[in-house]
Amino acid sequence: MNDSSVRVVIADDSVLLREGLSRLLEESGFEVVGQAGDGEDLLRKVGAHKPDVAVVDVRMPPTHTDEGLRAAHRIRAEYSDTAVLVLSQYVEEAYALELLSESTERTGYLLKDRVADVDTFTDAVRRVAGGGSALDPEVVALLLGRRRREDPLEALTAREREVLALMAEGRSNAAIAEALVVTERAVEKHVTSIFSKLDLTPTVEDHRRVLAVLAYLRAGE
Amino acid sequence: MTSLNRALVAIALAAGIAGGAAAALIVSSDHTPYPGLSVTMGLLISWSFVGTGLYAWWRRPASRFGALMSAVGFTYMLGALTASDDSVVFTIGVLLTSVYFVVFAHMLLAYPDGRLQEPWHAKLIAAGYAIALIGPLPQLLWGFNERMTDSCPDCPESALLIERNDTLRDVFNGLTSAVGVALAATVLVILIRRWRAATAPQQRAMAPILWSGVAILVLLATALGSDAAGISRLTDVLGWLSLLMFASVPWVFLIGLVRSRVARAGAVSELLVRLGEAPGTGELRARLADALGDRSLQLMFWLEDKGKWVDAAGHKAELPAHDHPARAWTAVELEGRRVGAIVHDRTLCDDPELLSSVTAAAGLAMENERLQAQLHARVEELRTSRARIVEAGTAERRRLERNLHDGAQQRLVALSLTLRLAQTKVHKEPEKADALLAGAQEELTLALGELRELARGIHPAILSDRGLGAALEALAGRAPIEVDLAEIPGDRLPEPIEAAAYFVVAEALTNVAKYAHASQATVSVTRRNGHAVVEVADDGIGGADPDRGSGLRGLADRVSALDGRMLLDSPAGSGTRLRAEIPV
Repeated sequence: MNDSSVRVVIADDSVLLREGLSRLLEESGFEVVGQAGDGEDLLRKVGAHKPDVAVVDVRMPPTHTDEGLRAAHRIRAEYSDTAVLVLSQYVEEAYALELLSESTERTGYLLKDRVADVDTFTDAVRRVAGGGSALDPEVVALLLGRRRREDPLEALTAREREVLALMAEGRSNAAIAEALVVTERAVEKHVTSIFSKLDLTPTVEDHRRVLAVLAYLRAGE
Repeated sequence: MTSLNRALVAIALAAGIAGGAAAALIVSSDHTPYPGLSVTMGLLISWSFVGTGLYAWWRRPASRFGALMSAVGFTYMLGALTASDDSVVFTIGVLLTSVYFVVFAHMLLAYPDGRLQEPWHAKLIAAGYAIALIGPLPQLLWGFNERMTDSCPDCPESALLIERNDTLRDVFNGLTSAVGVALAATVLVILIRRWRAATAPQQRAMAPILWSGVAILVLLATALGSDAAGISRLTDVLGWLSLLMFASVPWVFLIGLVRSRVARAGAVSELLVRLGEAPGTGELRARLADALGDRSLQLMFWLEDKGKWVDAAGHKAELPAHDHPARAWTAVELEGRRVGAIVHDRTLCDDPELLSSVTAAAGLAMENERLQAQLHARVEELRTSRARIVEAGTAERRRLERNLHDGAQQRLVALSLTLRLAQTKVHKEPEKADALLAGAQEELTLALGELRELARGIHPAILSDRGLGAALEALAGRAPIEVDLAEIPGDRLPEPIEAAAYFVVAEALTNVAKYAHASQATVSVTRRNGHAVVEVADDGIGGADPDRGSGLRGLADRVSALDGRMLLDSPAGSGTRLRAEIPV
């Protein structure tokens, strides 16, 4: 996909951050078509511009609790062509899983800090805009790190855990291969092994795969 | 009739018979100048001692004082043996004639319970008995002195007479008299010291006996002295005076006993009237002090729910120990339920009837004051827990300030420096600037992470956004041990309750991880009887100390600020169960 065609709406109650994000994205070749200061404003802008991606802060006026999440749900429901990337101040797996539980398509949940890491951030925006998903590594680490009785994750090798984590983040086999500096073929073998160890049904489609992995991790609660 | 009463009647009969025998002996005597007067005086004195002693014995069977008093009466009758015309009986009479006086001194020292308080007092009294028996020997061995032969010219000869020897007699007479005076003076000193050490109610109780005893001792000691000095006229006068004084002792004792009973009975009925006028106005203490004649009297109240004693102001108070020398306490009950205690002077224990009638009268008023004391105690408790909450708040602010200062703030300062440095190098040494900026980025990530954790510790956003259940799930997910969320309410609870419940679980899980050596913990929050019940149980080593650290204390305050309570059950070896109940 050509970056110039990716159109973005940004929602954050801090003008400073909004402007910063806007500049960062424009410099990286995205087109920022609108900015919003709260949930209602965001929905209006999304309705007007029909952007490819809405980058949304969780905490916004008026209640400063989870307006961003609620707006994200409505965008998913009303404008299915618009991807949503939620930025959060907190590592709250509950928010992320809530967002990603129905479908992982065109959805992402990142820690707000990640925007500073331009490559990771723009990669995540592109991924959700392209129909994929993005889940913050810290949230994934939290899900993997949970104490479970008779934890099947303990049966995984260190490398398999790395692959599982990257899968949960929403990365494709190619991206995983690149991140771990191995061949795609090797990644495929790891994925097959993980699915059989965790007793999951193998699937080729990336977003279905993420859904299955997250559902599995969540069930371990 | 009880066995005690039978024994007392038998003793009274014995006194009657012995008195009759003594009277007969005196009347038949050919050397007693005024037999009528002697019989009257003798019987009056001995019978009044025996009678009063038996009365005291009957009233306080536990005290030996009455027995000692009766013994004074009996030993006094022994003097009648000197009326015998038979030389041997007469001699025995003379030997025993002063014994009654040592019994009297014994009685004085043993007041009020009839027991000598110090072992050396027993030795002193033993020495007294010895000197009473040795005292007449010089006259019996070496002939009577002038005073004796003058007052009793027709007395029989001593059965023990060796030979007349005035010098030996006077020397030994002087010696035994001196020892007698010294012993009497010692008893005197003991009595006066005891008076000084006594509390006001004790002094009031011991006054009649003690002062008549002191007067008699002084008179007799002077008489012994004047006898040794040979001033026979003075000796006679002093002897008669001390005899009169001695005769009055039982009556003084009896009058004191009766008067105190009458006065106390009056005090109780007055107390009833005054308590009826205005019950529970805080003057109860003064009124009971009046009624019991003990100004040092204190009231204590029993708080059943706390299991502790408090004073009228609600402060924690201690009852005097059972073996406390000066203080004792009597429980006050109302309808079979303990409401309080009267802490009073130990002497009042001698009058159990008075105590029981006063405590019976005071029950309702005590209950009123107890409720007030309970209120005071509760206010006091609230005050201290409020102070602790404020203190905990301040401590928490200090902790946050320190964390911010040592963490994020320091990193931001370093970051600012790095950026400044990078700025100076950006044109001339772009590679170095690049490296500096990368370092700055890293520093910033750390600072952000620290701020995030700090914010979460202050108040996790998910708690207000999604409620207790979601917040507890997040907490469980972060715990270093396996946490089983057994039960969590589906609906939201009021915010302060959710927050308290959350922090109870958070602190409990922190403690479990730190101290319990547990592998697993179970958390449940249920609604039961209008309460939110928070429970955290682990499978660790138990033996948790509720006072350990400020964490649990602070939580207990937080829970009690919501009118809830916290319970810790942690038997050694079988896990710990923390339970908080907060009314919803």
